[in-house]
Amino acid sequence: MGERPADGHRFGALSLGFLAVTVLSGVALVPMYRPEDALASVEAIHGAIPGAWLIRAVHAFAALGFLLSTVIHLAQVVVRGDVGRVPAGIWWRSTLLLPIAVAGMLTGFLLRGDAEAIAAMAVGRGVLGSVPWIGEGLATLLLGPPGAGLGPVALHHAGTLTVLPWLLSFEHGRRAWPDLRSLVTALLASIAIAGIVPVAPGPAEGAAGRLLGPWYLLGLQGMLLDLPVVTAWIVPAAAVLGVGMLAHVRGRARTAVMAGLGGVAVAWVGWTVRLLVAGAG
Amino acid sequence: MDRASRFCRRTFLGDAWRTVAWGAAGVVTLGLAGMLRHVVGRTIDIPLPADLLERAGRQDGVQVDGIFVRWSGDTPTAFSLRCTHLGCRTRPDPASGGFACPCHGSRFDREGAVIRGPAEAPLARVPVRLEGARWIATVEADHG
Repeated sequence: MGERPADGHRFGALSLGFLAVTVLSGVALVPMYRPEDALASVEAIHGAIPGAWLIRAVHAFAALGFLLSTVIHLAQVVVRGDVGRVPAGIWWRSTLLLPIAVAGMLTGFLLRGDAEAIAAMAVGRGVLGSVPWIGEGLATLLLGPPGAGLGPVALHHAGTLTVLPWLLSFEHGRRAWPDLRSLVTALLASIAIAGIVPVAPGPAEGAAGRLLGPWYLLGLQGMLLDLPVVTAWIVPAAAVLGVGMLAHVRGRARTAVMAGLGGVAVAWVGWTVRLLVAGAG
Repeated sequence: MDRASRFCRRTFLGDAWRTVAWGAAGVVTLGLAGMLRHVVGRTIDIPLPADLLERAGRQDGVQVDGIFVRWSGDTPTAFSLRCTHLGCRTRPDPASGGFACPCHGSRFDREGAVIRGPAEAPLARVPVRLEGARWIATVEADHG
């Protein structure tokens, strides 16, 4: 398992532990999941197959743990002023771990195949399609052509969005496997939360009530009540660019970038509240 | 020019070249993916149920695979239920006879016209034709 990480990189090492748990639990789910009959297979995981619900819940919370520990590690590096110690190219590629982690979680949400997932797929296609010039190609590349079902999404979820974070984590941390302490911590934390918080499929197509996207994207869903569709990719892209730019700016410029990122976070929370309070549909 | 600035310029040029190469590869990939969408076809035919006339007469209309069909006189009128904002499937609202989007709250009247945004365009009309004894609707592949 290699040498232990330095204390200052504990969350970075933990993120690799969560990534390993996510991938291993995902591999265990593969024989139980059928993209062509997604909702029925997810319902079977939650009922007919003993213990499978726990594997799926561990998978979901380990993915969340990967995102959170990556964000905390990033925040620690920024607060300690260690950004300049990372080569700019590696910093930029490591920054990509944030949207890749979110994309991994979002594709997992789409693979549920319930009404919320189908709606999120349509919204995702619409948002990607609004990117000038390359939007249609981007939507087809990531989600497959219209009417293709969940096959392309499943392929990206299990392939692209597993290989990329592992490669980027390896480049950043110079280790392919987590240390034992990080792996055990990530596994125990995922199992503990999975035992407490239920992770069930959402409503089937045609069920009454409004449809909500994944909780971490409710801010974007809320923005789309009031702002143009392009907001849904401009805001996240600007946030990722802002984090990447931290490697190049100092002094007041860095303060301005940090203020911008804080503004995005506040707006995100505000529109999440607006969506939940105002209601839709 | 000292060694340090030569090194920085070389590093910068190397990074810039790699960025351009990766960007070009990305654009080519996206272009090919965009072409795929045109290769796989964009419209599909949906046969409407044989008892459509009877069902549509008993109810205000019927839902068939992402489209909503109402009978007007001797011909069916069909809408795509795909919301024109971002593509969520709208739901018939029995109280108003119109349609509501469960994602962002857009509302449409009986004829599919927008009552409340964020959608700006009306629900798309779906062409319906009679083939033998069957009514066939032709819709976009991502109709809803």
